[in-house]
Amino acid sequence: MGLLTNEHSRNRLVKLLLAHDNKLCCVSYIAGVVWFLALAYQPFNAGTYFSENALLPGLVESELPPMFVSALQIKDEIHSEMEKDKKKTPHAWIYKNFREIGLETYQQNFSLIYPFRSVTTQIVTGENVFSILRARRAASTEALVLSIPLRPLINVNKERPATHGGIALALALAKEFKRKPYWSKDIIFLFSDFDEIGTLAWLDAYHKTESEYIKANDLPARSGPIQAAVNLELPAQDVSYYNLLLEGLNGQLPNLDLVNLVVRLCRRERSQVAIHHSLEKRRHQYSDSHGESWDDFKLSLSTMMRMMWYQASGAPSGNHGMFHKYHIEALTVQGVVKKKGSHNDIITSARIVEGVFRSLNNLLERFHQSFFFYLLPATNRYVSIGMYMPAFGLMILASLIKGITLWIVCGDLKEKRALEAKKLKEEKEKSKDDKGDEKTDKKSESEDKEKAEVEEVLTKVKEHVKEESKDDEFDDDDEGDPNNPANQGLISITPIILVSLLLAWMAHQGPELMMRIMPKFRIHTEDMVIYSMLAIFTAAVMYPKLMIRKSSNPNLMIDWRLLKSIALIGQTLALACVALLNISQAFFLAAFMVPVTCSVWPTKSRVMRWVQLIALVMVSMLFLMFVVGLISAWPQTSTWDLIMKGYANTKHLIFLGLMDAYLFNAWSEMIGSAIIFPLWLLFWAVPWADPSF
Amino acid sequence: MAALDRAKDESDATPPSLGPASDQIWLDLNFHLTELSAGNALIDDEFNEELFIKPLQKGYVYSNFQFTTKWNATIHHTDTFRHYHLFPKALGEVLLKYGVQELHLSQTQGLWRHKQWGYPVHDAPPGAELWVWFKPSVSNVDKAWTDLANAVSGLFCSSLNFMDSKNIITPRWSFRPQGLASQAYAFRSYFMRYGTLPHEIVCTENLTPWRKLLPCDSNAGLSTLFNAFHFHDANYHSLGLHVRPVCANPECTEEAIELSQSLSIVTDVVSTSNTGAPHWSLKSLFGNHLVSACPIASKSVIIVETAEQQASLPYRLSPNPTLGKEILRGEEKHNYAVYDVRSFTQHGRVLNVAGTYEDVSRLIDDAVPPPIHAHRYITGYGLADGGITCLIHNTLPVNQSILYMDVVPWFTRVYFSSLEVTNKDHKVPFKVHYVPAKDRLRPHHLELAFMLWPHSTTRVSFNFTRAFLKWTEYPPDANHGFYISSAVISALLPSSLEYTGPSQGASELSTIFTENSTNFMTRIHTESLLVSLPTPDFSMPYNVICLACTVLAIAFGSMHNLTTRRFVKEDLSKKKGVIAKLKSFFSRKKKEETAKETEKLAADQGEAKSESESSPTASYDNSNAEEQS
Repeated sequence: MGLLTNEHSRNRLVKLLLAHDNKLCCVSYIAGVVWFLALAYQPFNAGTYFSENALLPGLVESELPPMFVSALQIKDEIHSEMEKDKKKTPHAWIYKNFREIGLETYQQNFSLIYPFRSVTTQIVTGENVFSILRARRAASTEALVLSIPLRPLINVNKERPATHGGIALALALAKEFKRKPYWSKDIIFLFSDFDEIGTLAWLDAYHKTESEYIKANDLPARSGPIQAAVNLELPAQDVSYYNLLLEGLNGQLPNLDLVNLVVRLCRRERSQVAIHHSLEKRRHQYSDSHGESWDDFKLSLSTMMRMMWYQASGAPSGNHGMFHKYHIEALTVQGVVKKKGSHNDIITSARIVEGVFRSLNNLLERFHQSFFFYLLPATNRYVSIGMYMPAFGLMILASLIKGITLWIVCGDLKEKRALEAKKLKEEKEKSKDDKGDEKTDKKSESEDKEKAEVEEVLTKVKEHVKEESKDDEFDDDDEGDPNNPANQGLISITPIILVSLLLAWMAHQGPELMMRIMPKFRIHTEDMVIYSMLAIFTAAVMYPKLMIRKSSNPNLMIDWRLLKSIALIGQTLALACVALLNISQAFFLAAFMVPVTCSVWPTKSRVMRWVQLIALVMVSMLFLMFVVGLISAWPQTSTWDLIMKGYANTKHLIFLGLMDAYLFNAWSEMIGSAIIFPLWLLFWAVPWADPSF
Repeated sequence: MAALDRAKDESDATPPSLGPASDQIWLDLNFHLTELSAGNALIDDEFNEELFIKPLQKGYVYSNFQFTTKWNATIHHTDTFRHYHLFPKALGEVLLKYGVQELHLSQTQGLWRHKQWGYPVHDAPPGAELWVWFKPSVSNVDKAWTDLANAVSGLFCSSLNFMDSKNIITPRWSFRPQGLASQAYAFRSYFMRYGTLPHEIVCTENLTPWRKLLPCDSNAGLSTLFNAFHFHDANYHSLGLHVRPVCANPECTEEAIELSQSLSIVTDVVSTSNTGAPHWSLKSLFGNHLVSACPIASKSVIIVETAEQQASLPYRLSPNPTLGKEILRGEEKHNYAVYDVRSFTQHGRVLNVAGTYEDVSRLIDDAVPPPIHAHRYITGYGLADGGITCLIHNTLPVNQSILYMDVVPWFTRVYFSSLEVTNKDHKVPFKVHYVPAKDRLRPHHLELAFMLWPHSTTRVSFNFTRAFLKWTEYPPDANHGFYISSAVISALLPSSLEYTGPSQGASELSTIFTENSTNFMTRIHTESLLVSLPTPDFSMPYNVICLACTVLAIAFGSMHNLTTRRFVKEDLSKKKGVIAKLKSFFSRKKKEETAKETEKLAADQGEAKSESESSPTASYDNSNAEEQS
């Protein structure tokens, strides 16, 4: 008999767990968070390297003319073309020019059916242009994509910079590439309208898949399976550094080899490259020995956090995000214009893109080596899934420990109650027939012995329970009888679980249902969405109140330990699953939720109850979204401005999240409303429960 | 392998019948002639060389070399293959040995783009394609195929031997004998096998053995234009070899064996020239001009198709052709310029046919697509399910019936129920012949016959699911993907728009000028496809071994011990026998104080022994015991 099979030794372990569970929870959560953040510190992460040797980055000499005059000429041409009408995108110009250099060029129309149809029956139509450079030596069995979003000049902003430098570059490169015999993969130049929507429409048509809201026309020509894609957002001006965007739909990332490739080739051209505008100091770029100072750690941490911030949203950070859905490795290279600092002209950019494509051309197999799950604290350092998972595991271990502890306590309590009930019964019987037979005496003696043993364990459990409900007195005369089997076990919490699932379903379906009836109210869509969310949330917040039985005491008569235990274990499972898909999302959820959800308990003190309820509201999805809104609106003149801007941002974010879910099948909305929300509702019931349990 | 080796030996052993210098050619020829005059056999054969050049749209130029050897003898006689003249012996022996009646081989690099380029003379899929009709006398066709594939792959330095039962089929409708054959034989495809290798890469090593079969090799005549650099720089090049029995005379009273070797190249003149102009010449296409005709050849011509219906694109030919022809094929007018190489290269002159455009700016006009062209692609994404869709466009104003043949490897398991032929969302009735695959034995074989409606696009589509391969079945580059060969579409077109080849019965390209057929047999090959299969991580076995060893030995072992075994306080009396004795001895001594000296000695010995064991606990116990004592 071993540690777990032996009841005696198992009990010791259980006792240990019961005695120290709070300490263990605290330690594991704090250790987890600290460890996770410490991963950004250089000695704790690793330098990037190439796994796919076929890429051979930078091995080939650039074959572009040293003075790439045509690129400069085309740039001027497109710039004047764009200036003609700032509202229009230069479809016709691109189509004409690509045909003139002898490439197969096609247009594709698509239409977007607005998901909230009743608002506006208007269908948005767009037009993609794409051109295929057929590799001479190959039979069109593989392809690479250079994608460039088309943006009219009036729609250009900081998040979505102008891209006509990229268009000029693509045309100039297409001309040069066409002359080269070494291509083994077709190169598709894709100019997508409406950013992600256009890209998705094109990819849908390319793979002949259908989406509900984006109707794409069939493509007249295709190439083979796409091996990799680079999305280029290059303004017409000289750029001071290149910014990489990696996060795709649902937090998918491109293969680390592709990221390495672009970083390495940018470095080769002596241009700065950054992830989410987090520029590294020049002197550290080329050496691995530095980076151990506190400042360096702060920089790495902020870079990693920025990446996690974008990844956590589950929304693509650029056009490349759509490619990930089709198992195509892709990233966005943005050229960022700054007045100060070094300048890279279009020729440098051209050499970088040429280098990337020639390396990709070398690929014999599709990207399969290197990492698909990683975090980048710097462009040349990475934290792989093997490194961050243990840290994250520690974080969610806290809620698992608490859950298991509660489960054990539940079981013990049940035994105790059964025993008490038995005792009561027997006492009654005894009082009834005092003269009872002598024979039964022996029996009861042995029973008493057993009882004494069990009671010994139970007193300990009781102590523990008392610790939990420190300031309230154990009230035996409570109206709600804990011994009533209706208030025990799964039966008591089933209604809670069902109600929370129902509410989750409503939260998931609510916006769409609301949209059906919305036109009558003549409210803006974004407002309507957030109002419907708030309505459901309010209903959800009130549900424990509604479920309290009027006859009994003002608390929920439920087995709250069982409820909390189930909720905690459920939370651990949910977070672990989300972590496998999108670590950043799981990290932020865990960081906020775990400490609060672990420490809710029913209490008689009004103050404590309100503190708990407020803490719970603070970690609800809606409030977290508001926090996100506040952070994105951060630098404001006054607090009121900040709150208003934060509210507006939240509205917009929720709306965008919904749109992503409808148009691109993003999961964030689903995870929030159908997984995290019902779990949160279970915890919400705990402070309302009867503490006498 | 034996067959392959032998075939290689044969090809090596075949001496080039012609030396490098023209003197030697004549010598050789004289030798042959004397042999002929000796009257051993009536070797009566004829060799023609032709080069067909057609400038395509957007600065591409299509050149097709065709070398035809016609041997007036019957293929069915074993005696025929005793004496050779112009016909290559290496090939003849293979034909004889494996009972071949017709053999069609193509080795292609690149994809012929029908929509832009029209139809080639011989259509070929990317990679290698081999289809053979065996003589009715062959008893075991499958075995004959295996042996033949090995022999031919040795002959042409290609890996045709990989065409095994897993990827060959017996087409039911799509392929008929191209040469003479009786009706009964032609309509039972029992003796026919068809195989493709879509991933076969064609290079100089395939060109050299192919060229060696020519009577003039590349020492004289059109074959002097062969330049591997230019060929492999081209957008498409295809080596073809076709052997078939034909009529020896127009009345068809006698049989002949026809060997037709063709080499097609499509060159992108605009991209390869320095000026970026679409002007072409023999020199720019092949890096050389023509200095001679093959002396053995009875005819040596260059035919340039000047303009089909592209009056919009006038260009000038230089030098002036021997004669210009304007003929009507079906309802379309075709213009040809013919150069007789022999007369142009007399007296040491050189021939450099060149075409110069007058108006370069109009080149970008889109080509008129040929009557039927197709686009085939993989649908869906991910590694579970997928589909194949083929769009077949018909630009004719009439209904056109076609045959569609698709060979899909066994590891993409086709759902026959999902097969659909639609035209603008209407279902098109079709006749189908389908042979389902057997895992690791034979591929899916699908043949469809249906009608293309005028000016419309018909969609053939079906779904498949991807099978798991055994881990030894993956190639070294498993993540590259697996190829699915081209689909074959055959049709009898009523229009000769963009049509280049001669009629089916004709041997030479120049017969275009005299024939008056109104139906044009067309066979087009679509794109070959690349699918990725679920691929294991091949470093996995290593990882598994490491993990299993580590986890089992360290983690699992200790956990298992911890959870299943009881930890008992060590009972010292059991293990350390001597100490126990000592203890008991001392305790006894305590009780009974009558101890003897001999026993003391024994105790000393025991102490020494326990010390030699150098166990700290033991010594500790010992000292304890001593203290106690």
